[in-house]
Amino acid sequence: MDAVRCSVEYLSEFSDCQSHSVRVIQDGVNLFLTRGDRDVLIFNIQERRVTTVMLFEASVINLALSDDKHRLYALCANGGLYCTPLPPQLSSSVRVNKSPDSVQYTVPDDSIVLKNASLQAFTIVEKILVTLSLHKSVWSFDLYEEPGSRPLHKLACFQVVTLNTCCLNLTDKEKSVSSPPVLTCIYPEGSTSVSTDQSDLRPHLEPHLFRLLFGVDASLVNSPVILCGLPDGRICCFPLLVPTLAGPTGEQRSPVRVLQSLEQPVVFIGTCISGEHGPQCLVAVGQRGKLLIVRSKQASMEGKKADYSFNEHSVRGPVLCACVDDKRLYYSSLNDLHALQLTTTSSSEATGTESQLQALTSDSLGVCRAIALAGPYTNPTGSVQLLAVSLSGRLLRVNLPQGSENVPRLPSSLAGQRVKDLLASIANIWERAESLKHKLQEKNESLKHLNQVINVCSLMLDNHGNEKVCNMGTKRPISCCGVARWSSLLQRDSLTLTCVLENSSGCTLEHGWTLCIQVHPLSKGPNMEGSSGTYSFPFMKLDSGQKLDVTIPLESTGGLSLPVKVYCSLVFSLSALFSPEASSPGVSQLLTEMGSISAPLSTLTVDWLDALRLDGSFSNGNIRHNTVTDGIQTFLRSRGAITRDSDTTTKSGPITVMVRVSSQLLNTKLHLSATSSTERCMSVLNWLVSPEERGQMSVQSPVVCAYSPDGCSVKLLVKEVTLGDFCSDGPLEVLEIRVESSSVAAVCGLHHAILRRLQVLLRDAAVKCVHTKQLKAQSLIEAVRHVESLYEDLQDAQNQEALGGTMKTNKNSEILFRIFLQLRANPLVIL
Amino acid sequence: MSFVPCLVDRWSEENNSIILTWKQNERGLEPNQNVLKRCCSESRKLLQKIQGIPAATERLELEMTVSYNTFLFSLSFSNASEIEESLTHSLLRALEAAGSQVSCSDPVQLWEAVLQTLGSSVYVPYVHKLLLIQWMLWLMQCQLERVLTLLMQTDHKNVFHSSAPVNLQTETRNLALSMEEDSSLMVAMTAKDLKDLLHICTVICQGVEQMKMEKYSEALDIFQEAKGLPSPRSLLAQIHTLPGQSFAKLGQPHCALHFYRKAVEVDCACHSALYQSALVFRQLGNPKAEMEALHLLYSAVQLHSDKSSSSASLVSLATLLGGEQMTFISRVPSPSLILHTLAHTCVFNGSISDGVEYYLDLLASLQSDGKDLIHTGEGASFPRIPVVYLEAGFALLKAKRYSDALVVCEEVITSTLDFIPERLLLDADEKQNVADSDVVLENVDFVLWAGAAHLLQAQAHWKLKDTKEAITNFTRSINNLVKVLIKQKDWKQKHLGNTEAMVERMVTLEAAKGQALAGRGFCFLERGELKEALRDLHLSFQMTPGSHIKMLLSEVLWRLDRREEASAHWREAYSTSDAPKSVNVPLYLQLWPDDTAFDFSELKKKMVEYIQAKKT
Repeated sequence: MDAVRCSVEYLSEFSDCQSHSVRVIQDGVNLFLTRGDRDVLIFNIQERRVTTVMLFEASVINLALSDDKHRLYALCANGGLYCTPLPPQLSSSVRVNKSPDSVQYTVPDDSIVLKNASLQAFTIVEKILVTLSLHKSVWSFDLYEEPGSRPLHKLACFQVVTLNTCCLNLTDKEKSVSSPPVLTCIYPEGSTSVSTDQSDLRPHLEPHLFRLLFGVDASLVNSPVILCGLPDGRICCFPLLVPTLAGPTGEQRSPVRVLQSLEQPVVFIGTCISGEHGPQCLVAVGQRGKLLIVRSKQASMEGKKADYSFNEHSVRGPVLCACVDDKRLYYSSLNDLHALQLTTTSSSEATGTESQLQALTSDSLGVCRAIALAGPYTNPTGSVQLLAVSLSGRLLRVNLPQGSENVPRLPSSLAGQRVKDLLASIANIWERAESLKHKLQEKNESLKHLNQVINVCSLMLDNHGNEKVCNMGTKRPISCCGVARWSSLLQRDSLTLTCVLENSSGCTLEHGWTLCIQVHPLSKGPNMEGSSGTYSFPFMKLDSGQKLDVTIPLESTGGLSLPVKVYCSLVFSLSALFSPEASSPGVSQLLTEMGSISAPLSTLTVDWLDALRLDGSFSNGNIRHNTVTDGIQTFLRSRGAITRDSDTTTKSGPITVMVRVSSQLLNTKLHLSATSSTERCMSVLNWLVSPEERGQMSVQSPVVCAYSPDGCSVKLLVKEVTLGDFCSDGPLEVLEIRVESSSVAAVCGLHHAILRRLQVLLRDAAVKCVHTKQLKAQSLIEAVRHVESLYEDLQDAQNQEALGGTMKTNKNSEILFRIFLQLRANPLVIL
Repeated sequence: MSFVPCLVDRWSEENNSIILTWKQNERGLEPNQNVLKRCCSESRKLLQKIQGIPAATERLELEMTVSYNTFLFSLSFSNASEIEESLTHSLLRALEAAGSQVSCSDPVQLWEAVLQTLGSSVYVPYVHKLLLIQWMLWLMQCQLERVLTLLMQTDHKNVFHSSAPVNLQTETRNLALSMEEDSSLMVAMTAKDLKDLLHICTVICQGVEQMKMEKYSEALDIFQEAKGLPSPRSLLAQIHTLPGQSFAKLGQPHCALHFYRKAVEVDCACHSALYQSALVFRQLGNPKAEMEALHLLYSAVQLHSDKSSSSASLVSLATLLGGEQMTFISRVPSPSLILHTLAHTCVFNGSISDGVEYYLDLLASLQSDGKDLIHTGEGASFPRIPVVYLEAGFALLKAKRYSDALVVCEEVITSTLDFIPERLLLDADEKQNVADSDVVLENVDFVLWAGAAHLLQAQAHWKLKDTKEAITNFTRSINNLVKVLIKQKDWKQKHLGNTEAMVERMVTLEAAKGQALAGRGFCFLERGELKEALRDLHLSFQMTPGSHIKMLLSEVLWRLDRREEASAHWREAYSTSDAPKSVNVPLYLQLWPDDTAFDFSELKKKMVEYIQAKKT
């Protein structure tokens, strides 16, 4: 809580970075950024946008700008060093604001200036390109003329042998990937006048220490010195602009000197603590947290020669990146960004290292996972700013307030513990709050759901009550209706029922509802046990106004058995109230198999009429012929060339049954507007065959030829006859509905279906029928007699059978059949 | 396949237009590197197009010509192995066109197959063009044995009766290649030109190899052969320089000089000839000529560095003769080292005014731009920077620019100040390892430089008639110099821990001490503090005995009225001739005649009178 307060701004966000290859260079408002892929982004800090994307041939390892800032050098993973001119608008002070889009620029492959697979690092100093390459365990520094011709003019080459003590088990490649060498140039102070504005950014040292560290020659010539931190921990240095000098014994000696070894990969080398004549110490940071500070020791009074001292300290590693300003070293471990106060204790050297260690306390800045740093620079308001790139690819600007070192601080060990505790308790509370919130939400959901279900149920119960009233009229809010259709699947025609569940209510049918359709055949044949079945269709959601279409087969394993009753209902399972991942198993445990609500929707009947296949709608070829012989027989039969003995029906030609209905009755019931008799016939026939299309006439003649589901041809006829002797009031107009077919089953089925339809039609109307006809008793008596005689015949037949099997069953059935036909052939008139 | 001839025509046209562009550029005054680059890439593209379809005999001439051109163009842009790879590819395609399949990639076997298959066909001129490229590649890598094998394969006859010892020289001399040129298919460089160039370069390469093995007379034979061959001008100078170097090594400096002069006559900017002749002149002890040669060399080097080094020639000698060979041939130290040598020689040989200018130039170049400094000259190393400063200070002092000398010496003093140890004990009996002795030597150097700088400053002050300041500086110099203590009595004797370098340092140190003491003594004498003067001069005489100091001693003694002693010293000094110039000490400690700017005539008169009086 007493740590240095710093504010962090997010400037931009890029994709994830690879921690070892992120490089950031800042040049004025432009930031050059590479994330270890093939792009180099040029980011404008003021406009906070990427102005240019440079696409290189291979992933970029390192970046540098030329001295005049007009060219960008990039070292790529393919060992190529590319030099590409920067877009002109970057360097010009007058910015064109016209281009808001970032420019993509592919660096051509001929901009490669140097290709050497063993290239590890490079830097550009004073128009000299310094490269470092590792080849066969020899580090070699090569110097080239910078804006030179291609191939570059090599100026010199120095070599250093690698220490193979610490990289025994690592190959050169692995080693270099894990920690590339660091090249830094340190200028003698006198040469800062070359570039005035950037002078504070150039690392330099006060002349005294510079001379002590790098020798008389470099300081006399004012040569910059290249310092190199090798992955094996050694810090090498050589003066850049000094000719190869003679050694003390006259021979040529290598200018490269090893200053010190950190014994861990070097991450950063810089200078800091500004004194009267420039920075007073050289700082080097190792990857595992070793910090080396080189200071000069003043020549003491006794005339002892002046010397410099190496002080080693430890900070908590791993150190990913670092930078320095006047007084502080900023370094990033993975967890945090630290600011380390460096002190000028060169005078109190005698007190020993203990006091120095105490002085080195670092402040946490609370910025984690920074993997690259640029800056620091002081903005006009006086605060210090750092640019950092985090591991997740965020570009951050860290503003450090001035004078933060005056804030009283907890001892670092205590502060750390305290922060840990606080963080832990925050995490606990957060966890609890989160789980409570979750439970509450769950319960709310369940209640909402239940409410909806109850709503839907009451809606349906309401319908149920006045079903009789508005059977056909007003549309019910939730309805289900079905249509039987023939469909052809895999060369086989089958009868299917398409049910449409329509939700025209205001409620939404939520998850948990199921549409249940039960199918029961009305006739129970010997082989019809398995034919009744239940189909259920759970659905996720049915909004108001939406429809759900389901199709079920009506034929079961036992074949088609008509008529069929279909019960539709909506079922809601209460267990659906509780989502499967719900954390309250208690309630759902109580709901066992009984936990469901079932609301009946509608009952449908599918009869022979529904299953008729009208002539027009099917071609002859589609009529079911199970085998070839069937087909042949049909053919022969039609030609009359074959006499059947198995089927009794064919002997006596087509069987005919008829139903007679008073046409006046039908007129009122069906609200027929037709006047002529043929029209009336057609509309009645239409009502029978396709009841759902009342408006238009699908039947154009009073005769309909169709095929029954078992493939026999059926003829339906409606005609109007006048029965003169039937009614006392005069001749009675009667519609005669006649079914003709060679198949007994079809005739029976259709007859039954027609009667059922009429029954349904007339059921509720019977009461209202005030008008009674004066029937002629004579004809009624005749009819009754006829029926009675038939009844007697039937009884005889029954008795004979009961008396003993003397009569052949064949004969018996023939008798019964005859009775049946006579009963049907001359029916009573339905008034 | 009616389009094929059409394609061949179009491609030939394309090739010819590239070559025409190049020729035009080559003839121009300013050959442009960019044109070469464009030609190279266009030619490469054309070759890619041609090689995109299966090889066939009707296109073979075109393809081989374009390959040849492409390889010549790409010499400057790609390395030898890349070119060799595409050459192998071209050869395989040629074989494919001729209908023979060879899968091996070994160049020697491949060439055998190519020469057997196409050796007697109409394609010979084209095959031989590619053969020249192969020769060039191997020459670039200095693989002379492979070149010999290749050339032997070309000449079938020699393979069969090789009774005579096979020799690359004779082989190249007798080489008969088909050099016909087809005017419809233009080439960037005619095969004859290329062959001639390769021939002379191969010979030079052989000679250099011999020189490296120190077989100088054999090398001379080879260079003799080279003289008869046609060669480009820049190479002609080298052909003269190399035998010159051989002669110099064989101990015939005058023959060497003759050759060097010839070389310079051919190419006045032949750096190595100038440098080598300067070395010979030094050896012969002809400082005037040496200075002149160095001066010429320096101006030539400067001219060269001003000129932009982009040569746009197709086949440069540097690439042909490989990196190592070329550096061996044109080995010249860095410009700054040349300048230092020139300045040093001038001052050492008394032409002070020139020397001072050169030293000032050198200091300026050290301060301003470092690029010249970085250039490493093979074998020769630059002196330490403080030494250069001291020499410059010395030259300035001699040129009577005392205040400048003071400034220059002050630089040395401030820079070495931090490194002066409290005292430095040299114990010769103690065994020291090399690293330690290096550190000790360096410390001695610091002491020596600081002492010498103070000494030069004191002399400057003395010349400015500021005896008080002079005495102060002489004292500082002495204080510095006596910090080095030597435990062993006779340090001049060579010892285990006493290396040659150490002895040299000791001699220099003693000389410096002697000069400082003598100088202070002389100042005291001028100021009339005769006792101090006598002490210092005595000490100085112990360090560096010399007649000059003896005379001064006699003067002091005379003034102290110790006439007998004075006359004895006088007689001694008079009888011994002037001490020879001490060559062993560095330039900045050299004694100069004008240092003895003391009028001894009066003393002489008195002495003569005194001795006469005694006699009588």
